[in-house]
Amino acid sequence: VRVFRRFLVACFCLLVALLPLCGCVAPVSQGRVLRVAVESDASTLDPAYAYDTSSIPFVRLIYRGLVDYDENANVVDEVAAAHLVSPDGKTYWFKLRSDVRFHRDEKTGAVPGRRVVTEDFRYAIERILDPATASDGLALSGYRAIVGADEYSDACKELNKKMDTATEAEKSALQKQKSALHIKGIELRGDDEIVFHLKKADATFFNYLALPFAYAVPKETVEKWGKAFSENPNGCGPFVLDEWVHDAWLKLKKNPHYFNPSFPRADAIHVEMGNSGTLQIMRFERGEIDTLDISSAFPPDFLRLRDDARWKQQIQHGPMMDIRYLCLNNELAPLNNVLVRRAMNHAIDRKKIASFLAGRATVARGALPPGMPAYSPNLFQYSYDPAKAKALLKKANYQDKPLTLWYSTREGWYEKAAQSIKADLAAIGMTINLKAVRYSELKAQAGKRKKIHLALMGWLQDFPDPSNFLDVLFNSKAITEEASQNRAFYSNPQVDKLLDAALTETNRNKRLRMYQEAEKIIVDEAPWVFLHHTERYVVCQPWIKNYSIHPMWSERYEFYGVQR
Amino acid sequence: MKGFFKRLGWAVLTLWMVSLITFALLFLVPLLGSNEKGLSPADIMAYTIAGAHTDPETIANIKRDRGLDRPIGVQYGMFVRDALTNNLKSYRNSDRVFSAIWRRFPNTLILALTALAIYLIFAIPIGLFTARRAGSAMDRVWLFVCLIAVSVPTFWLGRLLQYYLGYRWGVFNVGGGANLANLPLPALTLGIGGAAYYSRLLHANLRGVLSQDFIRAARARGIGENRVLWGHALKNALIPLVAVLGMDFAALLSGLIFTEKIFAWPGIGSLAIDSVLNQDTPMIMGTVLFSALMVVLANIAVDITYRIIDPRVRID
Repeated sequence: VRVFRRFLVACFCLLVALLPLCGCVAPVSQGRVLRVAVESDASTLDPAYAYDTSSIPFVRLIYRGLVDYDENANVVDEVAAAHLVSPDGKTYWFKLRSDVRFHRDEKTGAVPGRRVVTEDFRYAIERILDPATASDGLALSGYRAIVGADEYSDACKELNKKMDTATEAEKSALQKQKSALHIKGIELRGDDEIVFHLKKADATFFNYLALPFAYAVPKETVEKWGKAFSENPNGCGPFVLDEWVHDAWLKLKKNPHYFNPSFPRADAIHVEMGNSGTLQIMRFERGEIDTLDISSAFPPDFLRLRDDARWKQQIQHGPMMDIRYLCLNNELAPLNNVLVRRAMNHAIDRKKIASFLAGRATVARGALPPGMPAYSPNLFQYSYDPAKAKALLKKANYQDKPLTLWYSTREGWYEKAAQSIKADLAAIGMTINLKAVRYSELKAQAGKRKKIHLALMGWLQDFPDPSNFLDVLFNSKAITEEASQNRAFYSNPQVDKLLDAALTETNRNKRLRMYQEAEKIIVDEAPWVFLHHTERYVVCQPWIKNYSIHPMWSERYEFYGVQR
Repeated sequence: MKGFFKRLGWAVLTLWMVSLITFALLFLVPLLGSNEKGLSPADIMAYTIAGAHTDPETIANIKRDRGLDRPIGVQYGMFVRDALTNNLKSYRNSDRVFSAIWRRFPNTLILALTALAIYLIFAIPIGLFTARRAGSAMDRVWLFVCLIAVSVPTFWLGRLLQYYLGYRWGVFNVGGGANLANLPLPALTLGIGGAAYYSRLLHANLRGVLSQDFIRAARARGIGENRVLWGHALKNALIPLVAVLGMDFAALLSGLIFTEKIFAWPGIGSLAIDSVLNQDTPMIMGTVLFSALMVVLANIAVDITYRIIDPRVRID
């Protein structure tokens, strides 16, 4: 009896001893803490790599740029106190606020750290233009528009190559040489004034300055931490990183020295990762989390919340600013025939495909989503008309030969849509084989010239400007052999001319009209099957104040107040 | 003592073999999953690490940085060196693999210990109760219940408990981070099956022990039935359980993939599954090696425990 009792007592003692240990790992959050649960980890907290929806909402809390967007996605000053653009649209002048400080001083550890100066903005852009950083920003045209940007990149590339084979001593010399290199077109006038000189006018340049790639980064922090800079961020934003355990939780606390005293409205943000969609909804309904994105929630769960009297009033929605499309390779037969492409647009029942999202989508006319400047509600829309599609195929003298449609397994919708497309096209006599791959592979394959016929894809805006859809996806300049952004390999000199002119046009109305004209031609030539635009749905607890859906940022956590 | 060192030698050998196999898989898996012809495993791995940046230069850089362009023998040497010095790093971030595992270890440990406690707290009374009534209708009912409990898969039971006990009836938290309030459901999910299994194991052992001479002798000396059961029989029936329990504990410590994932419990199991989903090969290798280490250690621990509780057992 004694042995058994001793054993049980030992078991319990061990248990009791370990419980507090477990408790301090993640204390239950209270007070003015914003609680969020997500499925997967933030991919990075380094602005140079923040290019997806898992990282951008948090990176922009820690770091800040010269400019940001207001409620209606107009560009406004942020760290800049004032700005001016020259009449020819080629020179951008900014004066910095004098009261902006980094979270900590990297050398002394003092809080807050040193002042944010013009050099920090130049360094951020030079960092992404250095090929060794391997930032997504390197490929973006906006930064390349700065005078001397290409030359800077090339010079860095040369030095990087030399560094590969250099000894340690040579390396530090080369590193010094690299530090002395600068982009010619970024002019610093002391610590307060920075001027960007562009090769030619670019109406979208402000947007590139508002992306995390161009946010102020302290060079000393990057140099101290190297690859671990992402885990040890140091910015001037409204929140400071408190703790980040990959794939488990991310905690941010209020930056009391933030230059805008009205923000942030919450004291801290606790993000828990690894919560499946189902678990997120359960926890939201139990009041354990505060805001929940239900844009891609399982349709029955979404419908239940939408129709629940408790939550009906708490749901907000707005356009996702995206397009889902079937990409047709315009260079490969039979898709190089415009009649076949139009036939496919008529043959596919897009309403049905949109319905897989339980009402969270609008059937598309062209590429631009509603809410985007230059969106035209009266643009021609291909009707669902299999008879017409058949007639068009006949006119095109179409001979059926099986084509392969590639799609990604990332989301359940893609698989359903692919099957639906296959069935619709079979009805007009086109045979389609399906091939499921990982998203990264789909992107890689679809970017290769003359490689695959059909790819089911999506495009989400980088910023709310029509050029970010039309110029990137349909300009023949965006065609490359290996990693083309123009994945339809669509090329029309007239469209190119309109898009190029629009990019440098400084008159906004004239500019938007050019995009409308270009989109009209594009829709007529049907380089894609335009499927639908998705709609963002978010539900909030009643104690969350000032929540609103923003046309640019998926979340603006600094705005949300917590009043429990 | 000689036997102990022999054991230790085997343990090291086992770990070495596991490291070889995981390393080989590292090269085989990318080959199986690729659509691209003519790419070497090193290329495919580099593409996986690169993610969105797929220009040839980045790929070459990654291959050089990670030593993917070196001969296989050298790469294995680097892998072993990195694993031993905790320099094995995740593909996705700058996390050191064994540091990441170590950080999550307390969460997995608490869950494993709670589950183990549930096993024993339920298994011992049930085992005793049914062993005494072996063959009766009550015994058969328990047998039936236990069979069902053992057979129910955790990924189903977990969701069921989460939905009813947590979401619908609000008895326990539905899950989330690693705090105490979230512990009961994952622990129950693991505990129910284990408790049923151990109660049957104990039942069988007890029946064996109860028919032995020393029990009859004890009864003949007039010792009460309760004392015979708890004091004499149970102690002897528990000994064979130690081995199974040790191995189960090792399995629990290597992480419970389904249970941790369902309840978003940030332990080693959810780390393992996340690494698989993200194709974070070093992290996968790390969790596999860690599991192997746990099993090997549990084996040694069981051997030692055996010697202590039953000196007749020799290790050789």
